[in-house]
Amino acid sequence: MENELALLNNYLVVGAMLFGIGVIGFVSRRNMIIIFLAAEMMLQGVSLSLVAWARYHNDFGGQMFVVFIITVAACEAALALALILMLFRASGSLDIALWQHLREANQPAYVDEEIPELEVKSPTWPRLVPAGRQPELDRSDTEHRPSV
Amino acid sequence: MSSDALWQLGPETLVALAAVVVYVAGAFAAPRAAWSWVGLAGLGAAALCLASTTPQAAEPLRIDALALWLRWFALASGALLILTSWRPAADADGAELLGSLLLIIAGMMLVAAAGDLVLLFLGLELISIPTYIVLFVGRRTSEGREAAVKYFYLSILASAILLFGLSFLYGAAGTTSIEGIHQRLLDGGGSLGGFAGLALVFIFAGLSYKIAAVPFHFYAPDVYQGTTNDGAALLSVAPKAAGFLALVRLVAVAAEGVSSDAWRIALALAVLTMTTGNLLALWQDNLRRLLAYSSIAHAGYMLIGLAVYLGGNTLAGAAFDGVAALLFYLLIYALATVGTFAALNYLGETGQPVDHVDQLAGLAWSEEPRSRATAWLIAAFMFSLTGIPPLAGFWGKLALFAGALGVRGTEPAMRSWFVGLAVLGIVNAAIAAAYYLRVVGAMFFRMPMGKPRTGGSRSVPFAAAVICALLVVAIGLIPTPWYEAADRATPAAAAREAPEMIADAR
Amino acid sequence: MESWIPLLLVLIPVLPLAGAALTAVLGRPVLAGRSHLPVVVGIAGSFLAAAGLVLAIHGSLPAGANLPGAGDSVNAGYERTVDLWNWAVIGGAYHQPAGPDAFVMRDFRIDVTLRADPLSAIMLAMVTFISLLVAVYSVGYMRGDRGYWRFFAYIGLFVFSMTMLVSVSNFLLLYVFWEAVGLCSYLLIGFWYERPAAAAAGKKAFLVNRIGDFGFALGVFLIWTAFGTLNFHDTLGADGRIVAGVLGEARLEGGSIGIGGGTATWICLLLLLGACGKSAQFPLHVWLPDAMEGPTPVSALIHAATMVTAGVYMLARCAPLLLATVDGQMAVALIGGFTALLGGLIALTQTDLKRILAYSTISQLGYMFLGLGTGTVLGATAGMFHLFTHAFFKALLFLGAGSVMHAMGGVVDIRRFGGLRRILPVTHATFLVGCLALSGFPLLSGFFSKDLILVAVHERAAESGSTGLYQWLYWSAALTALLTAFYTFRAFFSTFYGQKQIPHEAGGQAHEAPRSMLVPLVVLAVCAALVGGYFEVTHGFADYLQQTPSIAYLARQAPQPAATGGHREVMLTSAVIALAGIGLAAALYWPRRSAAADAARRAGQAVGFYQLSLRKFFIDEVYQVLLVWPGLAVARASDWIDQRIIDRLVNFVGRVPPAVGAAIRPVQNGLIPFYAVGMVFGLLVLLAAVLMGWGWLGT
Repeated sequence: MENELALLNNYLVVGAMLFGIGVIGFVSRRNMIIIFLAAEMMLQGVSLSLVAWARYHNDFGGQMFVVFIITVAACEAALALALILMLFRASGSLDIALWQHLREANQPAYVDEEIPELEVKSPTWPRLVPAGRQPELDRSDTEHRPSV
Repeated sequence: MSSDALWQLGPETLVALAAVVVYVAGAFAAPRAAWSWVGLAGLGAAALCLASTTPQAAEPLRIDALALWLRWFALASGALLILTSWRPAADADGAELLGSLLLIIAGMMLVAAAGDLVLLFLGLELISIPTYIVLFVGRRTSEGREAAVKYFYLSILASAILLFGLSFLYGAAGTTSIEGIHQRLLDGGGSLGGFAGLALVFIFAGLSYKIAAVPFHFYAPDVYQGTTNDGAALLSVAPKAAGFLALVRLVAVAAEGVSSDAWRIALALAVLTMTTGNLLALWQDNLRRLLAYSSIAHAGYMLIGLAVYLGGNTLAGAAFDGVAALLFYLLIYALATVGTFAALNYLGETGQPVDHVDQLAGLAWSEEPRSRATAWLIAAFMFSLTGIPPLAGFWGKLALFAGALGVRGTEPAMRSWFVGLAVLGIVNAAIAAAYYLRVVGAMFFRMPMGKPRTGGSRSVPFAAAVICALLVVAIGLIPTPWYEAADRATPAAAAREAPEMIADAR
Repeated sequence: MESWIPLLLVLIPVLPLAGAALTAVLGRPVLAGRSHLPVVVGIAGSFLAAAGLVLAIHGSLPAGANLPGAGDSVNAGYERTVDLWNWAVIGGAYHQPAGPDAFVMRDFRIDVTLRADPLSAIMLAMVTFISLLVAVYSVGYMRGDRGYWRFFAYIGLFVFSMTMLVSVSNFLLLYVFWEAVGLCSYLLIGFWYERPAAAAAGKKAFLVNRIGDFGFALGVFLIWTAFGTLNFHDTLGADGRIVAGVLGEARLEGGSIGIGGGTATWICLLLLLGACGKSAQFPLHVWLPDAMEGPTPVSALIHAATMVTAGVYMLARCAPLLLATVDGQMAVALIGGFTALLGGLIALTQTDLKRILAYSTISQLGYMFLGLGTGTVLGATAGMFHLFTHAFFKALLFLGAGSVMHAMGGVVDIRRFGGLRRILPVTHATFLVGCLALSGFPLLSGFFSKDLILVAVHERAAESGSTGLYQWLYWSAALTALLTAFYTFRAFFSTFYGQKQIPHEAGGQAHEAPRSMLVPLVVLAVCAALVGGYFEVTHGFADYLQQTPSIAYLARQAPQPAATGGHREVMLTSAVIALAGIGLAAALYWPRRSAAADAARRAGQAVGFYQLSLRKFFIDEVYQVLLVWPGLAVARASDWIDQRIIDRLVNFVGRVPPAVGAAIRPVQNGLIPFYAVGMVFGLLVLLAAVLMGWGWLGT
């Protein structure tokens, strides 16, 4: 019995971790397909817990529940993929943050912070001097070149 | 599942059958009005079946008075929703929308009848999945797509949370039967009883999405705004009714042993929900967005009823029962909200719905008599939602607030919490008056800004609005039988009817 | 016959309402000039039902009902209630400690219940009868008016409200219909809303009535806290026990109403304030004369015969409450007696025919209050009897005045016309009957009813232990009778006798009114002449009325000797007074405005009395000084405070919700990941709360 309980706990912890990872993925990713997969992962966590419980209680209800969850998840997956396809056709992107037109009227649109581009100065190359003369080297140029 | 149970599910089967007929046949012929008739016929057949079936115990089902009440509610509101979304002209997607609507109604009824976690979950999903279709197909614009994607993603998140809660509930008791779980938890639940608390939180969170309670409400304003009036009417009734029923069923079960958490969660959510909903509604110009916040606020009021129920131990015979007040309020809220959307549907044209408060300006002085009448109808709904006597909304709020005032409480300071809740509810009702009356004011005291469009031959949504208004007035004038019908459906009434069963159980 | 009572009770209000609804819906587009049909038919049906109700109740009265003073026989009265539906129940709303650890708990329960008892039956019959005649009269009077259909819709609505007012059996519903008749009155006073005077009069009536209604509402609250019920009749409580209604048999049979002292006095005073507003008693009488801006049939129906008597009806209904407190009785009697005198004095010098009648109405209503204020069964029946007869002759006088106005092109100033008896023969004859009845000419109805009130006051004054107040009131009432006879005939002679004079507004076409206007006049004249004598001879009215539980209670509490022979001297006095008043008026105003009249006026002017009366004892001005000016001053001060402090505060409070709303608007930023974070955050907070306990939410 002691063993059973420890085993159950292991499964529950794994299930909860799957669920937690799913939640984190859900809120942190912006690709619609990946978000959906994260949600699936949450469902897998639930399913794992249910199976573990069912095993612990020696009751088939939980396993039956899992079968239904998988079925419903399949339905949702079908719908999700269709939906994502249509949305991709409409906007040409899988970014979920594009769908933010509906919001409070006075709120500014969320705009991604641009990744600051590195300043590209025109590179300074060593100038060729007429042959026979020692080139005047800029000290800083020799030590650091911004880009090559 | 025994054959008894299948027999008991006759009404649900008939509605689902009607949906199948509409889906399949809709591929070959498009006239929406005809399919609406088929849908109504399906609902009628289901009603006949429901009326003629004697409820009896059948394992995965739990057909008590509460279930019967909600099944009748689902059929009636389903009929009103079909009338509301009636279109005279041929409509390419009419059959799909109507079939989905019928499936949602079947889902509501299934949730009502479910006595098992699996069946309950399936019922809830039977509401959610067709809703995605309604949202996506109903309005094929950028806004419609956005509404669909928002509802879809947040809904699967909420479903996962709910499922996690259900898994704990199952784990704590070792059975999926709700009655069985209740018995097991009554016995103390053994070493696993502590999981019931976890289950409570996750279930509350997951179902709060369905009823649009803060902070699980975020989708509501955006989705209502983005979808059609039909879609918004559907969203404001079906998930709410099912969500509240599931809450009553599950939370009370899960709350054995953790009831002090349960009423606190309900109370906190009620406070947050009604306040946030009302405060944000003050700023809205888009009618559907305004009504979305209104529906959030009303979910908050209904949560008061739930809190009263979970708080339990009211002054004997003195107060309104929490669940009875909740159901009574749900009915009144649904009538006024569906009526408003029906009236807006009457005013709009296909593809050009009325969605701005300004579009209603001067409606009461319109040339067209039915538009004038519509202004009065909308005014009646707004007054009812505000809670002005003698309309129905007043009695609904009275029942909820008086119920909260009647809680005596099992713990110190509990009573004062509930008194504070009632007071806050009343303050909220006063705040809400501002935005409801703004709609009325626009219709009656402003010059028309361009003609409010009139949908010409859309008499059916108009009739739906008239039916709703008549009921709102009738309930306002004669509230008692309606309240008593809700009162008979409560768990408390069931306990009164069969005290010996409870005694046996203990 | 008794089995018909529920049906009749429902039909009486429903028929006029149906007529009104029909007219309101079809009036403008379909019926137009025939808009009166539904309403007239509805009211006629209603009248038939009311007459049936009177007979049905009469048939069901216990045989051998006791006569007043018949001694010890216990007479509980007759009442029958019909529950239509249950409007509202609030469980356990009433808690009253009843000993240690025990308290009475009762539902706040409002049933829509109609009641039938002799008092309401008489009122119903009277109201529907007068309404029917006035409606028929209006067919001629209002013909061609732009708002023809609107007028009849309002009239139907009024008859519905008024019949409901007298047949409901609950203080709250009484209040509801009290307001409803007030609303109809407001709508009809301002019927010609294009005229600023009419609009202002409507507003004034509305505002003054608010004061009274405020008192009434407070009275109802006080009744609730004192009795724990608002029903007149007894009801069955949820626990199967009888909940004694405020005026129900269970309470009245006990011999005591169950309250006393300060509570009873306060209830009476507050109800009296309400009655003063509706029945135009001092100091709330100022709205009634202005209300004459409304169409004349409205003045006859609402502002003379029916609505203004609602206060009297209410006090008669609450007579047992009144009996519980001597202070309350004296207040009612004092207000009534004073108002009667004041109205008579003001009416002396008015020149507007309708206003003379309005002040006369105020004065006569004062009489009724005086009768009720005696607190005896004789006084109560006399007050109701006067209400009954007054309805006939005052409606007659107003309709007659309307007929005169009709002929004179809308002119109502008695100085601008005269000698009309040849032009308006029917009006003249019927008006004469009305004047004689009003002034208490022997053997006409006003004579008997007024005489009964005087007798009641006289008896009360003669009672041992009574203060001198009632003696004073008796003399003042006698003086008022003299004044009544005088001003009535002043108006009569000025209008119909003397030199023929017709204002130019009449357009040289002055002629008798159409038949639809004359028939009601004649019917009313016959009634005004005969009803008093009929009931005086048969004693039917008093016997019938005393079967009302409230009034039967009075009879049981203070058995009175039969009011018969002992009052010959009172009767004689009042006859002499009436004749003297008429004679005086004749001497001064027949022929028209004789030298004697001028002399009298000059004499009056010399002592300042004439001015005093003409300017209505400066009561409007007193209001101006006492209420309006301080009111304005306070208003200015408050305006300042309001603008500078409160407004800012209120604006601030009003801005708080939107501001808080604005503060949380950013959470609705439209981003799905953000929303998901919000939901997860909410979930985590709930989890934390459950796992770590709820310290932050208190325990």
